[in-house]
Amino acid sequence: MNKTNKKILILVVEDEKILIRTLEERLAAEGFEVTKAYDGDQGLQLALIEHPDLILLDILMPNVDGLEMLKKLREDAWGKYAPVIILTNVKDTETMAKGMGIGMDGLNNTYEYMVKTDWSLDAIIGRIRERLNI
Amino acid sequence: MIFVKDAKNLKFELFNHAGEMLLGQKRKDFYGKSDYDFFPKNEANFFIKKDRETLNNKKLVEILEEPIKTSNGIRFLHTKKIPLYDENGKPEFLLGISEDITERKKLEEKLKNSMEDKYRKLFESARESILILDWENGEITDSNPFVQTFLGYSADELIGKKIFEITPLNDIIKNKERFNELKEKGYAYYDNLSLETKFGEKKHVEFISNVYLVGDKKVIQCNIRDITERFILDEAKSGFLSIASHQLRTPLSMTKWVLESLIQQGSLNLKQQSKLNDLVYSNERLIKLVNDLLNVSTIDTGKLEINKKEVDILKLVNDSVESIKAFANKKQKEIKIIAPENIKNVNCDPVLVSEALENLLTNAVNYSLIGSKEIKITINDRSEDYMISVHNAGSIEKSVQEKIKKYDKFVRGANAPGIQPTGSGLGLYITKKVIEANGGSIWFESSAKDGTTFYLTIIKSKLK
Repeated sequence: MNKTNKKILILVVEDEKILIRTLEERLAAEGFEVTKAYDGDQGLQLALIEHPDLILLDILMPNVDGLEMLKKLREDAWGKYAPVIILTNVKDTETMAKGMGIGMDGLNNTYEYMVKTDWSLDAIIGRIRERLNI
Repeated sequence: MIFVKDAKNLKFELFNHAGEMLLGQKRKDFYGKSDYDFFPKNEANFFIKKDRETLNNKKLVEILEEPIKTSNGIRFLHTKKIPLYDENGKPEFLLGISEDITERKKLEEKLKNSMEDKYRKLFESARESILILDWENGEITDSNPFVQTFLGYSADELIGKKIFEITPLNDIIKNKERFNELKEKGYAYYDNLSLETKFGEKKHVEFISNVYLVGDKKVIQCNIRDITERFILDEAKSGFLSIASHQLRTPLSMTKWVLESLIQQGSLNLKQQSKLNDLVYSNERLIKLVNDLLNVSTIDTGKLEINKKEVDILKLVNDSVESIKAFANKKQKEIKIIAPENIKNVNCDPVLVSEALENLLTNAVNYSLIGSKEIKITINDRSEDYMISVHNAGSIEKSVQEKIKKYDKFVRGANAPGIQPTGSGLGLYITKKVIEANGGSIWFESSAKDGTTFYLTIIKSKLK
């Protein structure tokens, strides 16, 4: 994951414009490169083409939702272990994910959940840095 | 009817007018005659036997109900027989006093029938399924018409069968498991069971059952109430809350993050900054309220998920105190942790338990006395668990203490809104449910002299 010459690329998949704009500004200010998608369909395409270093994924989105996208992502050889942080406001996300057979992979710890209202931008940045070991 | 018989030969000596009326014979016809001259042999035998019993035992014999054949048909008598003695104390006569209870008996009979009729109607017109079972083997001995309406089985199809042989009923009774439990306890209540009717419909039912005696035989009454509509409503309510919470949280997270960005830009003057901090505070309050409402809904619909882990309880307490610290400092309170050495791990859901601890600490900060600085959180080592107490110097009004003991939702002290206007009254309810879900218990003591202490217990880990 250490890309010395290249900027770290983060894919934000989120349908709410205000949220995506706020996240994008902050991530850019922290020196990350940001690519964004407004639903799961776009998100999956971008992920598979650009292979971002980390994906911030919303759950409730039009067309293809976050869990559906995650499920498809995991079917891809690269996507199987792509680091994902689920940023959601939906209760029971974990239960829903388990129901779809995409429970937390303990070995690779490939994704985790964060409830947006519980996390400040500062804390989210901190978590991203931890995940990327930077 | 009053009569007197000779003690030796049991022949009639005296007979009164009421006796003439009752038996429809002249009294002179009785004198010098015995029962065998007037009544069928088996009746006469019975009368004579009772006469002898009275005279031999020298005491009153009472016959509560005896049939007697008269010219007016069968009558029922309540009779007392008394020995009358001569001067040597030997029975000389037998005095008989009989009351005609035929009319009373008829009336009682009628009353009994009308009661039975009333209960039968109650049973047959009930809008819930009622089954009567044999306590011994679970055989269905009666079923009301609503069973057919609801489950699709007529009384003919059910009576004589065991409850386990009928599929939807076996769904309820779970292969004798619940039947045996019911037999033992004499009572059973399940608030939500599912079954499939003969028509193939999936239904949710409430099942109430109890055991009682009919005569000397134990029977089981089962009432099955259709709660499918209520269940669907509950599901809808819970689904609505889940969606509503998302819809509420989305704008709340926008406000949260935008405010944070704005404050971080740093180009604001002090007054502007302070206004924005007020907005942050107000937004956090809304977030907390939405979280509380969601928690209550999750608890109330039985969907609270517990993820128990091995947890360092001291770290959990430290972290909870740490997260309340800024708030406590603002209120000029200091939180002191008192813990024993060598603390072992506990087994609990760390997220839920720290929420419970934070609730208690927040309350302690909010409702402590104004002059008093210190909040104390103490970990006590007990054999099976750790007891954690949270103490402050404020006290709770007596009337509110009673309410809190019920741990209802929305319980707040009369002066609480003045002290802490942001409270929802949900915190203690959530705290209790969460602690209980983790196998612990919670209680409190409060007095003006000693302040208020909330106690909760967390079970020690069995590992190591």
